[in-house]
Amino acid sequence: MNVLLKKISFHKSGKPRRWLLRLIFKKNLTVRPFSRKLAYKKNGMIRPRFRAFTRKIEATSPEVISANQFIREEEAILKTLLPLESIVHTWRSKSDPSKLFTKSELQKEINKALDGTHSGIIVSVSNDNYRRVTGGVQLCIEHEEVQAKTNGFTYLQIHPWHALPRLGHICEEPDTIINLVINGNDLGCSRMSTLISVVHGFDEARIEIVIHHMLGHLPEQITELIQASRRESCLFWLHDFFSICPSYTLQRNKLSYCGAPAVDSNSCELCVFGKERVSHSLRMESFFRSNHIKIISPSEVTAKFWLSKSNLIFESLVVIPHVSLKFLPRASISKIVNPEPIRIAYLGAPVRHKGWTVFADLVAEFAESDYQFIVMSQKSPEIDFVDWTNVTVTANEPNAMSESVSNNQVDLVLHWPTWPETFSFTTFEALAGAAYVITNPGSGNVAAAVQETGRGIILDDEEALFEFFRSNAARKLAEGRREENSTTEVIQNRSRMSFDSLN
Amino acid sequence: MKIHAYTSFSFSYLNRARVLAKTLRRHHPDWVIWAVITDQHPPGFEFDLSIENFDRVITAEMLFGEDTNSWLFKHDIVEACTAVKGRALQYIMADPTAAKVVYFDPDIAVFNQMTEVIDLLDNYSIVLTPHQLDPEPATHHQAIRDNEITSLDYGVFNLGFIAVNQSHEAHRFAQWWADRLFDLCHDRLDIGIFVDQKWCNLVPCFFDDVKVLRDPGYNVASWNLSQRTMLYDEAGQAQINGRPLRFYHFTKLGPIGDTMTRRYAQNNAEIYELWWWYRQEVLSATDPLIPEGWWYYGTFDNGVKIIKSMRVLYRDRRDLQMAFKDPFETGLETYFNWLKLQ
Repeated sequence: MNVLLKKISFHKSGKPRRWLLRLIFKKNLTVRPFSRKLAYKKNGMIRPRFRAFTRKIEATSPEVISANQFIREEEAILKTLLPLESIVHTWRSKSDPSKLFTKSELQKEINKALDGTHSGIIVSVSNDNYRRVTGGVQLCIEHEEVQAKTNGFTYLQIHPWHALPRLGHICEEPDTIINLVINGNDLGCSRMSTLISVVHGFDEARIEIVIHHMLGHLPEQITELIQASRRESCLFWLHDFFSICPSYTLQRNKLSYCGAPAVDSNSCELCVFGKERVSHSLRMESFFRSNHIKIISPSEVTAKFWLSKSNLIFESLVVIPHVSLKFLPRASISKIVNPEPIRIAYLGAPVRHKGWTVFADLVAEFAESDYQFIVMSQKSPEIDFVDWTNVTVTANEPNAMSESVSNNQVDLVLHWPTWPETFSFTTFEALAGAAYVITNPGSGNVAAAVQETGRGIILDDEEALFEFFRSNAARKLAEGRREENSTTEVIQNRSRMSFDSLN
Repeated sequence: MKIHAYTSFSFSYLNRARVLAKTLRRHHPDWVIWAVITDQHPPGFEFDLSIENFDRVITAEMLFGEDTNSWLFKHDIVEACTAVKGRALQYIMADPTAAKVVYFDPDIAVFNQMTEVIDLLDNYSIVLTPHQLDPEPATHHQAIRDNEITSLDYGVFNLGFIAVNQSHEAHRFAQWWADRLFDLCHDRLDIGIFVDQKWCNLVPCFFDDVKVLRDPGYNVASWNLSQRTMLYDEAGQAQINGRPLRFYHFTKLGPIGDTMTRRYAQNNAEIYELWWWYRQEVLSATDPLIPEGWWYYGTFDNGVKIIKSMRVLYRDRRDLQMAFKDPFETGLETYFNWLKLQ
C-alpha cells in the first residue's frame, strides 16, 4: 500500500507528481495551511510520517523550497532547546519525597539485606533506576546486580531523586536526596549524607564503590562516600563521556558531534552546555585528584579517545568489553539462504544521535527499490515503507535483539551514530544475530568492531552511504554475509561487569 | 596607546550592545570600549558603568551641545543612532590614548580576536567590510535581488563595522563623514542616501589607504550567507569558508532575520546554533526596567509619540527650526502646539 502510494505520488525520477504538488501547495507554490498543519507538529518539527515526502520535495523541487519557509530539522530541534538551567528548573520542580530514612533506619534496612551475604556491599552510583529505565547502561547495571548475587555481594544502587541534566550544584542542594535500590528492590530515599554516615559505620563489611554515572550527583559527596568506605579506590565506568562534558555524548546543542574541544573554544562558547562545562571540568578534575580512580573502559577505542581528551588523574585503566564474540566454523555447513530482497535493519530507539534520521532518509530514497527496511524496537516508528518488529531487551532476555536479527534474516544493520559510541550493544547484537553492520568512521567502537571482525563496512559520509546503496555494493556485501553465515556461527560471552576487575 | 572600540545605541538596544561588549571584552580585555548612547534612561533604570563591560560613555549632548534636541528631532531612532557615529569617531580619535579606533554595530558579537584587522591598520588608514565578497550565480535571481541589488540600494559596504588609524587620511575621512552625517544621515533611498552607510560608497574614491577587507570571517550576516558556510575545526574554532569567524552581524533579530537566515543558511546547522546562542544571550542581557521599544526622543515631553512626518517637516523647514529651538517641548509657543494648530 505504501509503495503504491509512493508510486502514484512521485515520478520515477523522484519528482513529486503534479496532483500531489497541487494538493499540498497553492498556485504560487506556497504551502496550503492544511498541509502545513498536517505535516508539522506545533513545535515546528516535521511529523515522522511526512519526513520522506518532504525530503523528496526538498531534493527535487528547489522552486518549491524557495517559495516556502520550511523549517529545517536542525532549526526545529533548536526551537525546542532550552537553556540548561531552564531544563534544571523544570526537572527540579518535582517535590521532595515525603519520607527520608534516618541513619538508624537506613542502617537497619541495609543490615537486613546483608543477612546471608558474606563478601560485602557494592554501592553502585548511577543516574536513574535501572529497574525502570531501559538502556545500555541500565542493562549493564542489572547484569552487574546479578553478578553481585552470584559473588555473594549485596548490591545497593543509588541515584538522585531529582534527575538533573548535569552534576548537582551545591548551592541548589548541598546534600543530595537519593533513591536506594537494594538487590533490585526499591528501598526508599535518604540524604546522601545519611548513606555516607551509614557506610562509615560499617566496620567489617567490605564496601566497593562503583561509579556508572554521576549525572545529578555532587562529586564532592561521592568523594565523601568513597572515603567513608575506607577503600583506597573506586571503579569508574566510561559508559559515555560525562567525565569530560555534561553533554555526555558530546553533542553540541544536542545537534552535532563536537569532539570535546577545549572549554574556551567557540564550539563550547556557543553550546548550551558550554558554561556548565567550565565548572563541570574543574569539579571532575578535583574529584579525580581526590580519589584513586580505577577506570574501566568498555572498549579500546573509548580508552584511547578518553585519554586523548581528558587530563584527569587516575590510578589505572582496564578495558572490559561487555560482550565478546567468537566466530566459529559450523559443525555442518548450512544451506545459503538467499531471501529476496536484501534486508536492512535499524535496531533500537529512533533517536538522532544513533543515526535514526539517516536511516529514515535512506528509507525515503530507496523505499521503491529491492531493499526491505525493518525497524526492531520497543515502539513502532512513525514512518512509512518499513516493517516493524517489536523487540524489548531486558536482563531476563538479553539476547532478544540478536535473536530477532537472526530470525528475521537481517543482512545489514545501519548503525550510524553521530558520536563515538563507547561500546554499542546494537553493534554486538547485530553481529551476534549474524548481520553485518554499516557505519561511519566517527562511530567509535561501532567502527572498531566492524574493522576487527570484518563484518560490515565503514563509509566516509552520508553521500558514500547513499552511493553504496545506489550501486551494487550493498547487495554484494549482503550476499557475502549470507555465504559466510552458512559456514560460521557466532558465540557471544557477556562480561561479569565490575567483577572482572574486583579482586 | 590602546585600541578603542565603540558602538552606538539607544537603551532599547542595550541588551544587544551588552552582548557585543561582553564578547569584545572576552577577546580583547585591554581594549577601551565606548558606549555612544543617543537616549535618556527610562524611569527607574540607571546605566551603571561599574557593572557594564563598557569603559566610557558618550552622549548626544556631549557631541552636539545645546543644539542636541533641535538636531535630534530631525531624525528617527535609526537615523539618530547612526548619525552620531561620525562625531563620536572624531571624539574618540581625539583621545590621546587611542592608537586605532574600531566601530561595531550593537547587534554584532565577536567570536575570535580581531588582531589581523588591527594589524592592517599599520598599513591602511581605513578598513571597510563589503556586504558581499562573491558574486551570486547568474541563475540565482532571488539572491541577486536580496543581496546584490540591495547592496546597490543601501550601500556596498556594511557600516556595522569600520576601523581607522590616526593618520591624516583617517582624520580627513572622519571629518567628511561627520559633516555628511550631521546634515544628511537620513533613510532617503529616493534621493540616493541611506543613513551613514551609503556615503561610504565614496570612501575608496575620496581617500587613500583604504583596505576593502575580503576575508569571509568578518561581518558574516544574512546578506552574505548565500556564499559563506560555517563549520567548526577540530579545535572547535568556528570557521567561515575555512577562515576563523571574527564577528557575526545578527541583523534583524526576529521573524525577518529568521526568514533571511532560513533562506540562505539552508541546512548549515551551525548558523542556526549561532542564532540560538544569540537569542539566549540577548535575553539574559535584557533589563526588565527598560520598556520594550523605549526611546526618550521618540516622544514629545508630554509623552505624545512623534511621527516621522513631524520630524521631516521640522528638518525641511528652516523657519521652524529657528522658531522652535527645542521641538520636544510642549505648551504654548512650541512646535507641538504649532503642529496642533495646523
